[in-house]
Amino acid sequence: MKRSIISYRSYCQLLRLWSSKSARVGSSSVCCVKDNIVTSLPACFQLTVPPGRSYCTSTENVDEEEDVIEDDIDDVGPTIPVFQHRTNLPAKFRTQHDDPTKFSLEDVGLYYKVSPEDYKKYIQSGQWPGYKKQVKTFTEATVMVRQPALEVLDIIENANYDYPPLRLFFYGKVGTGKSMSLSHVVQHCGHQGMLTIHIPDFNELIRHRTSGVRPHAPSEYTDGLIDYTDDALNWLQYFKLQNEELLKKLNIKTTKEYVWSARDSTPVGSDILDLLSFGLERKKYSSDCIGAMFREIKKAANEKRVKVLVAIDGVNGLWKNTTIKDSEKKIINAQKVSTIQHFHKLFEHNWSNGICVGTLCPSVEAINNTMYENKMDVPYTPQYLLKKEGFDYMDPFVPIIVSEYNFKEAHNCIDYYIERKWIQSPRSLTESGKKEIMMLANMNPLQLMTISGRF
Amino acid sequence: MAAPMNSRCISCYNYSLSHVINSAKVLRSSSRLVSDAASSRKDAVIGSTDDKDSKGFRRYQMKKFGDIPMERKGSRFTAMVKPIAPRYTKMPVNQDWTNVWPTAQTFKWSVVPLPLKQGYLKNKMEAAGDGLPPQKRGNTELIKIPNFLHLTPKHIEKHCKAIKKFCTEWPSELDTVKDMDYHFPLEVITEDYCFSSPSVRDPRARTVTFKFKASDLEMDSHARDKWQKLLKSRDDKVTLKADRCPLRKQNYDYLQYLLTALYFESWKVEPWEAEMTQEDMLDYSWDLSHSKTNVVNIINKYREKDQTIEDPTKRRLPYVSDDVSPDTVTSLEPVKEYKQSVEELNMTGENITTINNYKESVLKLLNVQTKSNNSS
Amino acid sequence: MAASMKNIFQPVSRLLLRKNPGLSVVCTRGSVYDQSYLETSKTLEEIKRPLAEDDIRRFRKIKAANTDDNTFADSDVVVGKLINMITKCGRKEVARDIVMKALEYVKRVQVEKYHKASDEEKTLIVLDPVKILHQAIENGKPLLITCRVTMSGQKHLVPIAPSERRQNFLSLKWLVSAGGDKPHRVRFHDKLGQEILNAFNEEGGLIQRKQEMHKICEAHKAYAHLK
Repeated sequence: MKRSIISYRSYCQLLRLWSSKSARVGSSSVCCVKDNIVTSLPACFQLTVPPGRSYCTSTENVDEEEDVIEDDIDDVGPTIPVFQHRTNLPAKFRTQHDDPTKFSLEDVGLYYKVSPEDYKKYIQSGQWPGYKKQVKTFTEATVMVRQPALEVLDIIENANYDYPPLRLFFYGKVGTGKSMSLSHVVQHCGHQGMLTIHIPDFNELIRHRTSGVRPHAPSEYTDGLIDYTDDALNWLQYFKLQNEELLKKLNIKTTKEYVWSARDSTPVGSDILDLLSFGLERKKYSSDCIGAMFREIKKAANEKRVKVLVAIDGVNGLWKNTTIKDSEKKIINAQKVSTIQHFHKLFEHNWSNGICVGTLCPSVEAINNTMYENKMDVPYTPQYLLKKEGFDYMDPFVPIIVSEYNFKEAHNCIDYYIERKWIQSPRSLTESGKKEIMMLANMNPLQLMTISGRF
Repeated sequence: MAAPMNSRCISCYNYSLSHVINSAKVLRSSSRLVSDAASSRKDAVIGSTDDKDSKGFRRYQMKKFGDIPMERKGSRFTAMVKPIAPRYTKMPVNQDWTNVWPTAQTFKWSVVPLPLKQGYLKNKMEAAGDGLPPQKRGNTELIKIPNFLHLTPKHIEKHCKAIKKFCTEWPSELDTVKDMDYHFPLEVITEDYCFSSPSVRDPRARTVTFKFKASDLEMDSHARDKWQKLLKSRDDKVTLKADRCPLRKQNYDYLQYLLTALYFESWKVEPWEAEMTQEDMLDYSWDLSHSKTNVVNIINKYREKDQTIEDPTKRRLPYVSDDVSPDTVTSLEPVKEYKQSVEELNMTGENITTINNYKESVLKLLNVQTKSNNSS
Repeated sequence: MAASMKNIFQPVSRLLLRKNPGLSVVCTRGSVYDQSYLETSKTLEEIKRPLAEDDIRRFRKIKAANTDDNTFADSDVVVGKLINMITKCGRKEVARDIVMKALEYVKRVQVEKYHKASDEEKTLIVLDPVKILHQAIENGKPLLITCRVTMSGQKHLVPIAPSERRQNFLSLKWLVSAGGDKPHRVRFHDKLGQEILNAFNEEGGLIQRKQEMHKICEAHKAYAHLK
């Protein structure tokens, strides 16, 4: 017993020596050791907060001389390996400019800032709630430039618009940034003067609502279908927000008279904006209004007067079942909803001068009710989500994978959070700490966002 | 023990002569026994066979108090006998194990020369010694489990040698397993049961099982397809089991009939089979799928526009000629690639490679331009 | 005297026992480990450091690490204690979730304030939620607490000075109960985060509770001689 105590005591002495020496140099690697073993008398809350040494790779200037050099403590024991390296490079995670139309492959992995108007127009809707909170906290909205978005933009720019529209779909695991990439594409095209028909979150239209059934009514125009009244109105407002200025410039006129009822009708040659405003006023006819508008837009696009981008986030929802039951207590499929059918018709091959983009997204119910332990393991591949009907309709389309962050992107993400003061824990400011966070999140963008709240 | 018997026998033998003399002889011999015992007590080891009398008979030595050193434990006395070394310590290395362990026996720790350990230490107390599992000495667990020390290779050799004279030689055509399967593709399994009850019959004995491979049967693609549908399984290994008839022979005949019927039925082509659709197919066939119709449609659409453009290099799909019937379309290179990728997607399932292949084939099919291959 | 009696029955560290072999103490809490076991290494650096030839850990048995211990950046003793206090029915994952979300709430409020503040104010704003939690608990520590003493059949409340350990415990306990005191719709982690911030700013349920305790002690200061 006695001998063991002596040897133990000497061990403690060793540690004290090491810690005192390294305290001079300033590294905190041994302090924790000392606290754990030596001071174990009723410790209560003796906090192991190491001396605050900011290893932040931030935009502040870094001096060469302040590099940490570990002394070879030969007389005491083996050298302590340096786990906390300082990088001398200032962090670079922002792009040089904020114009979404001019990014190249060199900008991949860097953040660009979005103006508040653009944020409301293009990016706000359809994202995970955590992102919206983040924008509020950081008082700025930023989007990362990623390779799949650039690929799609490449195709859009060089496409031949004389031919029927191409179909390009993002697919990928949960939380990898499909909706974000789509928003980037929509923003880019909006800036370039294309008319954007964008449903930010299609799965929301299909979703089960505990607060009550979606307001719906039998369709005015077609028998056997139903309308979503409120949703059509909300979408028209969104459409107006995105495209009002462009439509004012374009001056598209209707080619057909639309008779809504005995009293209301839109004559030939009236501006498309009149249709829009009519739909916004009269909820009853807003779904049919959407259909009429799309008809006019297609015609105008055929005549090369306007370029159209159709972007639907959650295309696989077009064939899903809604949660509404008809009079015979049978569940209604999305194909029987006229509001949705109008968007469905945009994918047909009978018009030109447009392009269709979308994401293939598992629904929130699928993620919550999954039998997989990890909710991020939900199946995400195109054919599984589209199922037979969808695949047969959409084929041939171009599937574009949005994968998880690579090392550079994840590193930039963490650097951005550090700069915004979101990551506070001192250990996370070091390189090894950053790697720990990346490992915990498994390089998944959504997980990184939620996990970094803890550090 | 033998000695007194002998002396009594002798005495019986000589009884007729003089009873007194014999009895005196007996007395004398017994007294000699005592004196002999007393004299040779120190030298002779208890139970040894060295102690012999003048006639060469072993002498019995009665145990006396003091012969064996005793140990007192409370009120009991136990002999402090030096334990005999277990048998396995005296075994020569090159012994014949088949003689030591000829038949199946319970495990005897002192005979088996292996350093075995069996058991589980439940708590710290038990593990206090060296922490190793319990040894074989007095280990009931080792006794409980079956041992196969009576079936070592040497044993088997001996058995085989004994049986060899009753056996013929293995035919040379059946050297490998492959040959055996080729010559005997059908495996018939029947079971016999021992039944102890008023009746000796076991109802399970009537089952007959046929096992064979479907690939051993000669079938064309249609027949194979129909075979799989009739059996409702796509496995190559087929098992047919019958117990519907009361006799084994009858079940065997039934299975033979079943096999023949399945085989010939799958060769027949019924008129209603022509109505088969995509859903009925076991495999994915691109020719009957929507995918083909989609491709034909889209190429037609593109061609309509292409016709207006004079210069063939500036057309969207330069590989499409004027003839756009479905057959010619499918023979075009990009369409063939596309067909292959779609079939792969459906057959092997979706993974990174198949989806990427699909993507590449679509890009080529529709001649999608990107910055890297920008021509127009 | 009662206080000194109490001190004997507090859990005593193993190191104390080891250093003073003559000391015999009744240990009220049991452990699977006896005296010969060494502590585990709990930091990544220590784990990765190579063992010396004569290092005692080569020859002695070592305790297993707790499930609470981790080498990651978010391990802190106080936060761990808070999680343990919120745990009910052994559902520690739920409690951990709550505390992490509460700290995230605190961080969110502070970071937003930081971004909207002017440059001078920025240096004054504390952003690390763990530091805020520490400060909040410091602020919520009562300097005097009451103790029941029976004198001649009467039970009196006597103000006494609590130990460091008791102060910490009470502060955390009151923080948790202040967090639970909310309307039905408000989430617990939001309320807890709000309470932490309030306590940091010397207001809110925790501070109120502490001040109530102080008032009671003030009222009963006549009995102070009984302890």
